[in-house]
Amino acid sequence: MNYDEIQDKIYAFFDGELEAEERPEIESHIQTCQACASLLERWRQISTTVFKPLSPPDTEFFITRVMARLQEEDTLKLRRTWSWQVPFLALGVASLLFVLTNLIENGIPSTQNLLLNDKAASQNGFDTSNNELDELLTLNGEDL
Amino acid sequence: MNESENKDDIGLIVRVLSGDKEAFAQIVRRYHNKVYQLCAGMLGPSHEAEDATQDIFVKTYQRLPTFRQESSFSTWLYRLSSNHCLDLLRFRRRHKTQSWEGLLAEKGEKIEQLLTSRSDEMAVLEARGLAFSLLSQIKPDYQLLLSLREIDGLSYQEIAQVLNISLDSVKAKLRRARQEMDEKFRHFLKTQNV
Repeated sequence: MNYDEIQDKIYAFFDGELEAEERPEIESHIQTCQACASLLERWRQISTTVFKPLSPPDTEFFITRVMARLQEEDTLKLRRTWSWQVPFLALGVASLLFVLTNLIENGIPSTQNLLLNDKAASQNGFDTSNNELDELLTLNGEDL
Repeated sequence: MNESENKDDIGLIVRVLSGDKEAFAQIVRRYHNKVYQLCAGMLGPSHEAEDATQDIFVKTYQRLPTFRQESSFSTWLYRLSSNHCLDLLRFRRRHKTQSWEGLLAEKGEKIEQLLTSRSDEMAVLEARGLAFSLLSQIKPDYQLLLSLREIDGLSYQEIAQVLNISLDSVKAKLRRARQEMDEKFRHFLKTQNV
Protein backbone atom coordinates (compact mmCIF):
# COMPACT_ATOMS: atom_id res chain seq x y z
CA MET A 1 0.00 0.00 0.00
CA ASN A 2 1.33 3.47 -0.84
CA TYR A 3 1.01 6.49 1.48
CA ASP A 4 -2.15 7.83 -0.25
CA GLU A 5 -3.86 4.47 0.07
CA ILE A 6 -2.89 4.29 3.72
CA GLN A 7 -4.28 7.79 4.34
CA ASP A 8 -7.51 6.80 2.57
CA LYS A 9 -7.77 3.79 4.84
CA ILE A 10 -6.98 5.79 7.97
CA TYR A 11 -9.74 8.28 7.24
CA ALA A 12 -12.08 5.40 6.34
CA PHE A 13 -11.08 3.78 9.64
CA PHE A 14 -11.97 7.03 11.43
CA ASP A 15 -15.32 7.17 9.56
CA GLY A 16 -16.14 3.52 10.32
CA GLU A 17 -16.18 2.79 6.59
CA LEU A 18 -13.50 0.08 6.48
CA GLU A 19 -14.38 -3.49 5.60
CA ALA A 20 -14.27 -5.73 8.68
CA GLU A 21 -11.27 -7.65 7.34
CA GLU A 22 -9.29 -4.43 6.74
CA ARG A 23 -9.66 -3.04 10.26
CA PRO A 24 -7.05 -5.20 12.06
CA GLU A 25 -4.41 -4.34 9.44
CA ILE A 26 -4.97 -0.59 9.83
CA GLU A 27 -5.22 -0.80 13.62
CA SER A 28 -1.85 -2.50 13.85
CA HIS A 29 -0.36 -0.04 11.34
CA ILE A 30 -1.47 2.92 13.48
CA GLN A 31 0.14 1.35 16.54
CA THR A 32 3.49 1.12 14.80
CA CYS A 33 3.45 4.27 12.64
CA GLN A 34 3.77 7.51 14.62
CA ALA A 35 2.98 9.70 11.56
CA CYS A 36 -0.32 7.92 10.90
CA ALA A 37 -1.25 7.88 14.59
CA SER A 38 -0.67 11.67 14.74
CA LEU A 39 -2.66 12.20 11.56
CA LEU A 40 -5.60 10.30 13.04
CA GLU A 41 -5.38 12.12 16.36
CA ARG A 42 -5.19 15.55 14.70
CA TRP A 43 -8.25 14.78 12.63
CA ARG A 44 -10.13 13.54 15.69
CA GLN A 45 -9.33 16.88 17.33
CA ILE A 46 -10.45 18.93 14.31
CA SER A 47 -13.59 16.86 13.91
CA THR A 48 -14.74 17.37 17.50
CA THR A 49 -13.93 21.07 17.67
CA VAL A 50 -14.86 22.37 14.22
CA PHE A 51 -17.83 20.19 13.27
CA LYS A 52 -20.11 20.41 16.28
CA PRO A 53 -23.80 20.34 15.33
CA LEU A 54 -25.77 23.43 16.31
CA SER A 55 -29.13 23.59 18.03
CA PRO A 56 -31.72 23.90 15.29
CA PRO A 57 -34.47 26.54 15.35
CA ASP A 58 -37.59 25.61 17.33
CA THR A 59 -39.37 22.96 15.25
CA GLU A 60 -43.00 24.09 15.48
CA PHE A 61 -42.13 27.77 15.05
CA PHE A 62 -40.01 26.88 12.03
CA ILE A 63 -42.86 24.84 10.49
CA THR A 64 -45.30 27.71 11.03
CA ARG A 65 -42.93 30.05 9.20
CA VAL A 66 -42.44 27.65 6.29
CA MET A 67 -46.19 27.09 5.92
CA ALA A 68 -46.78 30.87 6.02
CA ARG A 69 -44.16 31.28 3.28
CA LEU A 70 -45.95 28.67 1.16
CA GLN A 71 -49.23 30.53 1.62
CA GLU A 72 -47.52 33.78 0.57
CA GLU A 73 -45.97 32.08 -2.46
CA ASP A 74 -49.42 30.73 -3.50
CA THR A 75 -50.95 34.20 -3.22
CA LEU A 76 -48.08 35.75 -5.18
CA LYS A 77 -48.37 33.09 -7.86
CA LEU A 78 -52.09 33.77 -8.21
CA ARG A 79 -51.45 37.51 -8.36
CA ARG A 80 -48.71 37.04 -10.97
CA THR A 81 -51.05 34.93 -13.12
CA TRP A 82 -53.80 37.53 -12.95
CA SER A 83 -51.50 40.52 -13.36
CA TRP A 84 -51.00 39.91 -17.08
CA GLN A 85 -54.50 38.58 -17.73
CA VAL A 86 -56.41 41.48 -16.14
CA PRO A 87 -55.57 44.16 -18.78
CA PHE A 88 -56.65 41.82 -21.59
CA LEU A 89 -59.84 40.89 -19.79
CA ALA A 90 -60.62 44.56 -19.07
CA LEU A 91 -60.08 45.45 -22.72
CA GLY A 92 -62.32 42.57 -23.79
CA VAL A 93 -65.11 43.59 -21.40
CA ALA A 94 -64.84 47.26 -22.46
CA SER A 95 -65.10 46.32 -26.17
CA LEU A 96 -68.10 44.10 -25.49
CA LEU A 97 -69.84 46.87 -23.54
CA PHE A 98 -69.15 49.36 -26.35
CA VAL A 99 -70.66 47.05 -28.97
CA LEU A 100 -73.69 46.24 -26.78
CA THR A 101 -74.36 49.92 -26.01
CA ASN A 102 -74.23 50.73 -29.72
CA LEU A 103 -76.60 47.93 -30.52
CA ILE A 104 -79.07 49.01 -27.85
CA GLU A 105 -79.00 52.65 -29.00
CA ASN A 106 -79.21 52.06 -32.73
CA GLY A 107 -80.84 48.65 -33.02
CA ILE A 108 -79.46 45.91 -35.21
CA PRO A 109 -78.82 47.41 -38.69
CA SER A 110 -80.12 45.51 -41.68
CA THR A 111 -77.81 44.67 -44.54
CA GLN A 112 -79.78 47.04 -46.70
CA ASN A 113 -79.27 49.97 -44.32
CA LEU A 114 -75.60 49.18 -43.99
CA LEU A 115 -75.17 49.23 -47.74
CA LEU A 116 -77.25 52.38 -48.16
CA ASN A 117 -75.23 54.20 -45.51
CA ASP A 118 -71.98 53.29 -47.18
CA LYS A 119 -71.11 56.49 -49.09
CA ALA A 120 -68.42 54.86 -51.14
CA ALA A 121 -70.84 52.20 -52.28
CA SER A 122 -73.46 54.87 -53.11
CA GLN A 123 -70.95 56.79 -55.20
CA ASN A 124 -70.20 53.64 -57.09
CA GLY A 125 -73.80 53.40 -58.28
CA PHE A 126 -76.12 52.63 -55.40
CA ASP A 127 -79.12 54.86 -55.46
CA THR A 128 -82.35 54.50 -53.46
CA SER A 129 -84.38 55.78 -56.35
CA ASN A 130 -82.83 53.30 -58.69
CA ASN A 131 -84.72 50.07 -59.17
CA GLU A 132 -81.48 48.31 -59.90
CA LEU A 133 -80.90 48.33 -56.15
CA ASP A 134 -83.80 45.99 -55.53
CA GLU A 135 -82.39 43.63 -58.07
CA LEU A 136 -78.97 43.83 -56.50
CA LEU A 137 -80.29 43.10 -53.01
CA THR A 138 -82.66 40.36 -54.04
CA LEU A 139 -81.74 36.93 -55.22
CA ASN A 140 -84.57 34.67 -56.24
CA GLY A 141 -86.95 36.81 -54.18
CA GLU A 142 -84.98 36.46 -50.93
CA ASP A 143 -82.96 39.10 -49.11
CA LEU A 144 -79.22 38.58 -49.16
CA MET B 1 -31.94 6.65 4.62
CA ASN B 2 -33.55 3.26 5.11
CA GLU B 3 -36.28 1.77 2.96
CA SER B 4 -39.17 2.09 5.41
CA GLU B 5 -38.36 5.78 6.00
CA ASN B 6 -38.38 6.29 2.25
CA LYS B 7 -41.76 4.50 1.98
CA ASP B 8 -43.17 6.84 4.63
CA ASP B 9 -41.74 9.80 2.72
CA ILE B 10 -43.36 8.64 -0.53
CA GLY B 11 -46.70 8.29 1.28
CA LEU B 12 -46.39 11.87 2.54
CA ILE B 13 -45.38 13.15 -0.90
CA VAL B 14 -48.44 11.53 -2.51
CA ARG B 15 -50.62 13.31 0.07
CA VAL B 16 -48.87 16.64 -0.53
CA LEU B 17 -49.36 16.32 -4.28
CA SER B 18 -53.06 15.74 -3.77
CA GLY B 19 -53.25 19.02 -1.86
CA ASP B 20 -52.68 17.99 1.78
CA LYS B 21 -50.47 20.71 3.24
CA GLU B 22 -50.34 19.09 6.67
CA ALA B 23 -48.42 16.22 5.05
CA PHE B 24 -45.80 18.73 3.97
CA ALA B 25 -45.57 20.04 7.53
CA GLN B 26 -44.71 16.47 8.52
CA ILE B 27 -41.93 16.35 5.93
CA VAL B 28 -40.53 19.62 7.31
CA ARG B 29 -40.76 18.25 10.87
CA ARG B 30 -38.85 15.14 9.81
CA TYR B 31 -36.02 16.84 7.93
CA HIS B 32 -35.62 20.40 9.15
CA ASN B 33 -32.79 19.59 11.57
CA LYS B 34 -30.74 17.72 8.95
CA VAL B 35 -31.18 20.48 6.40
CA TYR B 36 -30.42 23.15 9.00
CA GLN B 37 -27.20 21.40 10.09
CA LEU B 38 -26.02 21.28 6.49
CA CYS B 39 -26.87 24.96 5.96
CA ALA B 40 -25.14 25.98 9.20
CA GLY B 41 -22.06 23.94 8.22
CA MET B 42 -21.96 25.67 4.85
CA LEU B 43 -23.09 29.18 5.75
CA GLY B 44 -22.20 29.51 9.41
CA PRO B 45 -24.31 29.85 12.53
CA SER B 46 -26.31 32.84 11.34
CA HIS B 47 -29.77 33.94 10.29
CA GLU B 48 -28.61 33.21 6.77
CA ALA B 49 -28.53 29.48 7.61
CA GLU B 50 -32.08 29.65 8.97
CA ASP B 51 -33.31 31.61 5.96
CA ALA B 52 -31.60 29.17 3.60
CA THR B 53 -33.29 26.25 5.39
CA GLN B 54 -36.65 27.94 4.88
CA ASP B 55 -35.91 28.67 1.22
CA ILE B 56 -34.94 25.04 0.68
CA PHE B 57 -38.27 23.78 2.02
CA VAL B 58 -40.21 26.26 -0.11
CA LYS B 59 -38.21 25.08 -3.14
CA THR B 60 -38.83 21.45 -2.12
CA TYR B 61 -42.59 22.07 -2.02
CA GLN B 62 -42.54 23.74 -5.42
CA ARG B 63 -40.41 21.03 -7.00
CA LEU B 64 -42.14 18.00 -5.47
CA PRO B 65 -44.07 17.33 -8.70
CA THR B 66 -40.69 16.82 -10.44
CA PHE B 67 -39.49 14.21 -7.91
CA ARG B 68 -39.24 11.04 -10.01
CA GLN B 69 -38.23 8.61 -7.24
CA GLU B 70 -34.96 7.80 -9.03
CA SER B 71 -33.34 8.11 -5.60
CA SER B 72 -34.72 8.18 -2.08
CA PHE B 73 -36.49 11.37 -1.07
CA SER B 74 -33.81 12.24 1.51
CA THR B 75 -31.06 11.93 -1.15
CA TRP B 76 -33.08 14.19 -3.43
CA LEU B 77 -33.60 16.69 -0.59
CA TYR B 78 -29.91 16.65 0.36
CA ARG B 79 -29.01 17.25 -3.30
CA LEU B 80 -31.37 20.19 -3.53
CA SER B 81 -30.03 21.58 -0.22
CA SER B 82 -26.40 21.09 -1.26
CA ASN B 83 -26.91 22.94 -4.54
CA HIS B 84 -28.74 25.77 -2.81
CA CYS B 85 -26.01 26.22 -0.18
CA LEU B 86 -23.21 25.95 -2.75
CA ASP B 87 -24.81 28.69 -4.84
CA LEU B 88 -25.11 30.96 -1.80
CA LEU B 89 -21.59 30.21 -0.67
CA ARG B 90 -20.04 30.84 -4.08
CA PHE B 91 -21.94 34.10 -4.35
CA ARG B 92 -20.79 35.14 -0.89
CA ARG B 93 -17.15 34.22 -1.58
CA ARG B 94 -17.10 36.34 -4.69
CA HIS B 95 -17.87 39.31 -2.45
CA LYS B 96 -16.04 38.72 0.81
CA THR B 97 -13.65 36.12 2.15
CA GLN B 98 -11.09 36.71 4.83
CA SER B 99 -7.68 35.34 3.88
CA TRP B 100 -6.07 32.64 6.02
CA GLU B 101 -3.23 35.04 6.85
CA GLY B 102 -5.73 37.75 7.85
CA LEU B 103 -7.63 35.33 10.05
CA LEU B 104 -4.41 34.11 11.70
CA ALA B 105 -3.27 37.65 12.42
CA GLU B 106 -6.63 38.63 13.85
CA LYS B 107 -7.67 35.49 15.74
CA GLY B 108 -4.63 33.21 15.98
CA GLU B 109 -4.84 32.86 19.74
CA LYS B 110 -8.57 32.12 19.69
CA ILE B 111 -8.06 29.50 16.96
CA GLU B 112 -5.55 27.77 19.17
CA GLN B 113 -7.99 27.82 22.08
CA LEU B 114 -10.69 26.32 19.90
CA LEU B 115 -8.60 23.55 18.37
CA THR B 116 -6.98 22.54 21.61
CA SER B 117 -10.39 22.12 23.23
CA ARG B 118 -9.96 25.12 25.46
CA SER B 119 -12.97 26.70 23.77
CA ASP B 120 -14.91 26.39 27.04
CA GLU B 121 -13.24 29.67 27.85
CA MET B 122 -15.01 31.17 24.85
CA ALA B 123 -18.68 31.96 24.47
CA VAL B 124 -20.40 29.15 22.54
CA LEU B 125 -21.47 31.43 19.73
CA GLU B 126 -17.99 32.87 19.37
CA ALA B 127 -16.55 29.34 19.23
CA ARG B 128 -19.08 28.35 16.53
CA GLY B 129 -18.32 31.49 14.54
CA LEU B 130 -14.62 30.83 14.72
CA ALA B 131 -15.05 27.16 13.80
CA PHE B 132 -16.99 28.32 10.78
CA SER B 133 -14.25 30.81 9.82
CA LEU B 134 -11.82 27.88 9.82
CA LEU B 135 -14.12 25.78 7.68
CA SER B 136 -14.49 28.69 5.26
CA GLN B 137 -10.80 28.49 4.49
CA ILE B 138 -11.28 25.47 2.25
CA LYS B 139 -12.99 25.24 -1.15
CA PRO B 140 -16.83 25.31 -1.08
CA ASP B 141 -16.98 21.80 -2.60
CA TYR B 142 -14.78 20.42 0.17
CA GLN B 143 -16.75 22.33 2.76
CA LEU B 144 -19.92 20.67 1.48
CA LEU B 145 -18.35 17.24 1.48
CA LEU B 146 -17.07 17.60 5.04
CA SER B 147 -20.37 19.02 6.27
CA LEU B 148 -22.25 16.06 4.79
CA ARG B 149 -19.83 13.62 6.40
CA GLU B 150 -18.89 15.24 9.70
CA ILE B 151 -22.04 17.12 10.64
CA ASP B 152 -24.87 15.24 8.94
CA GLY B 153 -23.09 11.89 9.33
CA LEU B 154 -23.84 10.58 5.83
CA SER B 155 -22.06 7.41 4.74
CA TYR B 156 -19.69 7.44 1.75
CA GLN B 157 -22.37 5.70 -0.32
CA GLU B 158 -24.98 8.30 0.62
CA ILE B 159 -22.61 11.17 -0.17
CA ALA B 160 -21.87 9.58 -3.57
CA GLN B 161 -25.61 9.47 -4.30
CA VAL B 162 -26.26 13.04 -3.13
CA LEU B 163 -23.38 14.51 -5.13
CA ASN B 164 -23.83 12.09 -8.00
CA ILE B 165 -20.17 11.08 -8.00
CA SER B 166 -18.40 7.73 -7.62
CA LEU B 167 -17.48 6.17 -4.30
CA ASP B 168 -13.77 6.47 -5.18
CA SER B 169 -14.25 10.14 -5.91
CA VAL B 170 -15.89 10.64 -2.49
CA LYS B 171 -12.91 8.99 -0.78
CA ALA B 172 -10.35 10.97 -2.76
CA LYS B 173 -12.09 14.31 -2.26
CA LEU B 174 -12.62 13.69 1.46
CA ARG B 175 -8.95 12.91 1.83
CA ARG B 176 -7.90 16.07 -0.01
CA ALA B 177 -10.31 18.20 2.04
CA ARG B 178 -8.99 16.75 5.28
CA GLN B 179 -5.37 17.10 4.18
CA GLU B 180 -6.01 20.75 3.38
CA MET B 181 -7.48 21.38 6.84
CA ASP B 182 -4.76 19.33 8.51
CA GLU B 183 -2.01 21.35 6.81
CA LYS B 184 -3.59 24.62 7.93
CA PHE B 185 -4.25 23.67 11.53
CA ARG B 186 -1.31 21.35 12.17
CA HIS B 187 0.88 23.85 13.94
CA PHE B 188 -1.86 24.66 16.46
CA LEU B 189 -2.38 20.99 17.21
CA LYS B 190 1.33 20.27 17.56
CA THR B 191 1.35 22.29 20.76
CA GLN B 192 -0.51 19.40 22.37
CA ASN B 193 1.98 16.81 21.08
CA VAL B 194 -0.55 15.00 18.98
